[in-house]
Amino acid sequence: MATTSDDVQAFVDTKYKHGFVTDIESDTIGAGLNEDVIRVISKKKGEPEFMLEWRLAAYRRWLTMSEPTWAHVRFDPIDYQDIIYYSAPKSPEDGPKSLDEVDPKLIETYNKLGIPLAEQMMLAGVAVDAVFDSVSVVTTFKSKLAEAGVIFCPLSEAVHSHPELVKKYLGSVVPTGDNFFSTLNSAVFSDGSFVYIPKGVRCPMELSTYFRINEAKTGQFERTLIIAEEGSHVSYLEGCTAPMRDENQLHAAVVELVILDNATIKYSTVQNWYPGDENGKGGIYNFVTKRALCAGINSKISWTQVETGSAITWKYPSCVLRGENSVGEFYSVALTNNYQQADTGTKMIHLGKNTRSTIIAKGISAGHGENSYRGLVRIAKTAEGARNYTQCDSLLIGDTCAAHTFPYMEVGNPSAQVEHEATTSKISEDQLFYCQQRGISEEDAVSMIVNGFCKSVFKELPMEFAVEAGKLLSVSLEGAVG
Amino acid sequence: MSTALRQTGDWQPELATALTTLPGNKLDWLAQRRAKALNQFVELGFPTRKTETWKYLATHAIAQITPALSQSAVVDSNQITQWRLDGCDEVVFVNGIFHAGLSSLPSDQNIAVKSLAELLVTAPEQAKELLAQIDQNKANDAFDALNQTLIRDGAVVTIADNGVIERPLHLLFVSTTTNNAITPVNNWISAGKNSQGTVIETYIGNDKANNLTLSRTTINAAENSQLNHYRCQRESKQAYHFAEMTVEQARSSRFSAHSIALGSAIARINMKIVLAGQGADCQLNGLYLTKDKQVSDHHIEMQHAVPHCRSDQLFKGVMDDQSRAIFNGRILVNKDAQKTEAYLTNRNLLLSKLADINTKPELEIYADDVKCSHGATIGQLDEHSLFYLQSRGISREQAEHLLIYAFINDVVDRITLDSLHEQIASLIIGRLPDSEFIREMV
Repeated sequence: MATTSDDVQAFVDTKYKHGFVTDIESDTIGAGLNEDVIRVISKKKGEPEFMLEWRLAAYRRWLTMSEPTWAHVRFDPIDYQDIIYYSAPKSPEDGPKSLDEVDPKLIETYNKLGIPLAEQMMLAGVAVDAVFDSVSVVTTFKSKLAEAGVIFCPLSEAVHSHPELVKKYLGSVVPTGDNFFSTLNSAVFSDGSFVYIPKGVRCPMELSTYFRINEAKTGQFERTLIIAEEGSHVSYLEGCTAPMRDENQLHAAVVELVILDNATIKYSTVQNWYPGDENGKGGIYNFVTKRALCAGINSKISWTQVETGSAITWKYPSCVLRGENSVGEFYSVALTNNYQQADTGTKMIHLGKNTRSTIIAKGISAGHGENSYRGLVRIAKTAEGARNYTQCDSLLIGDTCAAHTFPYMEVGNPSAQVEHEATTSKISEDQLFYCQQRGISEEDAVSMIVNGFCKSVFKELPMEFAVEAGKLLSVSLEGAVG
Repeated sequence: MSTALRQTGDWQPELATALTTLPGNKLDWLAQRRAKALNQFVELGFPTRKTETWKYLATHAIAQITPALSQSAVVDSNQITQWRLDGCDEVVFVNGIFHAGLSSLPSDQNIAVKSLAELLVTAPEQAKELLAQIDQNKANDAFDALNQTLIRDGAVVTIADNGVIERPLHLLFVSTTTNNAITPVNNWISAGKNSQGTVIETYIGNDKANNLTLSRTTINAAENSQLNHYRCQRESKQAYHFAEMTVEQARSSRFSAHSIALGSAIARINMKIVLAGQGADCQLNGLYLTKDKQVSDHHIEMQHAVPHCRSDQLFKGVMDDQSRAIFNGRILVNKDAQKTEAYLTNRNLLLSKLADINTKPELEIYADDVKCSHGATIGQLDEHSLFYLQSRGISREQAEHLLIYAFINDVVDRITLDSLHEQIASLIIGRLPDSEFIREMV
């Protein structure tokens, strides 16, 4: 894995010769991006021709684009030629041999979050050769899903097993040229998840459970595609409350959801990537494109996100409400502490008649954190009787942080009803005093008040994660008070 | 239709000629200032939709006109009688040029009104000081730069310290020009310590006028002053109107402003209010009504620079036919501006399927001990209220018009100056169908 900067430089300087592709045997290719690198990625994954073409088209498009600058975030320019675009997952032997070798700070956090020991080992990447409890669990889950007809596999597998579905839906919600980061993702995406729920099927379990135990190291350019056929239902949880240590600084993932007539997808995200240290050094840039297309009548998408990690979070899970009576929901908690920055929100594009959307966004800033809500509600001329309700509240803790709200409302239909409300406030002295005089420490009181502030979002999360998310907030807020 | 889009650079030759006819063109400092602004105008280019603040407003129609400066015209006193306000002192500008014959200057010793063009000749040093208040390095856009290039005339209003001005001052800007001529206007209103006063700016044109008005008003409210300001934009349906308004409020000053935008094909106003002294209070009300193909744009920035200030904004809009409105209200709370209270409400009513509204209320907050909120709604008339009125024998159409008026009236009623209230209310009722009925009801 270790490549010195000299190696990288030498590699960058190398001209790619014809036949280079066949020479590549190692698991990692050098930094830099060009058509050959994309060919290598595609070949390594043994992808069919159509995928390679698709990636190359995206790459050519990407070359013509420039990085957007409108977000309310600051970061040093990213050198896209200094990123390694393909590396095979680390072999288990490289990992720590037991929990004793894992950073004690990490273990401490796991314990605070109440993560079971077996899972702790999984998360920390401890190599376990012996029979691992969850393996059998995974197998049971797999058979149960297969029985229901649900397809749930890595995207790289789906390309082979279900090329017709991938061909039809990949890029149908987030087109290859959608934006700078999604285009980059389309060109170089490493892997991701593919979910297909057949007609009329209610997915027998929360895909979260399975996913969490079986989480693959999908790398920095992840791509998720979920298709919910007519009348189906699925709840999917991405991410993890446990802190993720990751070497890659830029994460540009794409999530596409297709929802047909009467189908529902509930997509929950808990993101707790490395936020950088107390002085704002390091941390992940999380620049993600997420979009759901409610293609049929009565289809419904519900996004729930809890964003506590990453140095910079820049994402807008969106809903395109094309089908009549379709419903879009967005519930979000974004927390920024220390020098974290977040510019997040949603887009509700109302196209169909009687479409409805709800946005509840809670932003919490502490330390030197900067938290922006940016959301778009667009009611097209065709969206007769559309309805939107937006509420975004910001909570400021300390006088060095900042909170911003940038809601865009574009309404072109007189029958639409759009409401937006936003407030900004701090935790009142009265509330704190009340808690403290009842013997609750200041830190606990703050965490309690913050949890109350976020309650309307947490209640949308799957049960077990709601509990963890609450704890997660307290952990993330540590050191913000006093 | 395939004519190439004209750029700001294409305007340069005509503008260079226009510069030679402007007052004060012998003054070196002014010539330099104008040249700098002209360069800025060319460099900035006409705003495009790629610029965030111009995302919703297309200006290519304006780029096509052949630029020329508006000229003074003979206007009979009778023609403007209907636009005058009872009980006010009046300063009349015709096509942006001060018209002494039509004006009745205030007799109160505590208020002084001068024409900028006159100052440029009689007291250039004073004019220089005034112009220095406009930071040239911060030109907002090409229209702002163009106004600074063509700086010509405008009202310079000064209220003395401790002066309490009983008679409101009405600045009436009348347009008669029919060749898309540019009318630059630069006004200054400064309210001295502990003073009180009311100033109204009305921009109006006769039916055929198709002027491009560029207006800038610089307002200073000194310590403990109370200033009421009304801005009525009633230009003709073909006119273009681009305005800047900057306000700086000192300690414990109270500023109450109204922006009533009814006219113009394209109208845009950028307001920037800085609460620079503790205890300053700002109440901002606004109303925009659009019909046919009108486009009306408000961009407001309320900056809380110091602690203990309060601001409250209420803006309402009604859009009919194929018209569009844009509202962007930004509340900015600086890092140390603790104990800030800032509120913003924007309500909109769409009356037609082809009408559009784009609204964006923003909060940008860098202090923690603040109370800030904004709300925006876009909707239709309440079915229950309609039903109530219908059940009392009022037809559905009439009930609708009555409710639209009630919606607007919320802002109109905040106009405390009687003569203006009457004028605006009657104007708005006149715009609605069934005006006779509404007049009767209210």
